[in-house]
Amino acid sequence: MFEKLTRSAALRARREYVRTMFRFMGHALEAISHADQKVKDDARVLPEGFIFQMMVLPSGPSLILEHTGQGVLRYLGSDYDGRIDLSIRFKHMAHAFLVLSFQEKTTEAFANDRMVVDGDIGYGVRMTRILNRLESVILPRLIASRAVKEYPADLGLLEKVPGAIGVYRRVLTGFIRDLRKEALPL
Amino acid sequence: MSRYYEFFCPVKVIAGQAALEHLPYELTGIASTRPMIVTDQGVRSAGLLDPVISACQESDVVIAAIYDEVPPDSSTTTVRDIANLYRQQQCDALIAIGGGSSIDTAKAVNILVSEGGDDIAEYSGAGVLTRPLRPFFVIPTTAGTGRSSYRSPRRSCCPMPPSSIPG
Repeated sequence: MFEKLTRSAALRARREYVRTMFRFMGHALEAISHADQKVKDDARVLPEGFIFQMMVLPSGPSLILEHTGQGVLRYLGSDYDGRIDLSIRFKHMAHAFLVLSFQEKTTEAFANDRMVVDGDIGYGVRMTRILNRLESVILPRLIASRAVKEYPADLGLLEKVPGAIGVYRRVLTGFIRDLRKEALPL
Repeated sequence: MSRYYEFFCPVKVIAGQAALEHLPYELTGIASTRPMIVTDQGVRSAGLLDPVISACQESDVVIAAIYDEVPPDSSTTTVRDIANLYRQQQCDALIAIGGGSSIDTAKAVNILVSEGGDDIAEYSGAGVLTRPLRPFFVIPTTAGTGRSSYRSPRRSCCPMPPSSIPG
């Protein structure tokens, strides 16, 4: 009985962790697309109004981003019922947790068939590159090396630290905005 | 050396870290909404069913029925009982969890629920199965040769068609 309760609590905690990480990543991707030239260059190729979704099957959590043009991404939250151009779906919460807790690299997860990509594969690769760039910039090198296929050799502290501070600042602002919206929905 | 041979074993094998959590996706992929688990008391009391059920629940897949009384030496009566439960609960896929006994019993159940009838012995012989069998998954809990993923059952009373292999 105790074991079942512990297991159930652990599963709920895992779901909440994944939900929070998706929200964090949404805000962070929006933030880095304003500040990082490499991300901008990659995102610029996406069509304007392009909608990207990352979710856990069968019904979430999820994160939705829109390319608003000029390489800038906008986080649309998790509730969006419009057209999706590219969707990366984790087959199970456990698989999303492995990636989002940096136990499995995104590329490894693809290789291990943890995700289903629905949409243009070229854009999928581009979005994965953007995610890798984000992780490289905002995470300490030791953790980032576990999350990305190859840590960029040209990313020095002088570029990394201000970039990370900028992203965290915008993420914090985004989280406060979300909390305000949730507290005052109208 | 023979100048000719055939090899046919199109079983999808999923193994390794977090492999069990692929099961709900595979079930959804074949549009199964009411799978049935076939296992034995030993497996159940060891708690080996819990991670399977939990992985399915987390993905909103409901296990429609569980039969956990497969004896070490299974029988045609056991096969009939499980087939009846499968039909009563309107299941649409079989998941065998355990060793050879549970797996082979579930294979025989699959023949009954797919072809109809109550007596598995009626299906002895080669080429007697005419319909495609129901989706069949195996989660082995014992170390073995992998023979369960092959067509021949342990006892050669009823040769299996290609569709009886787990997939």
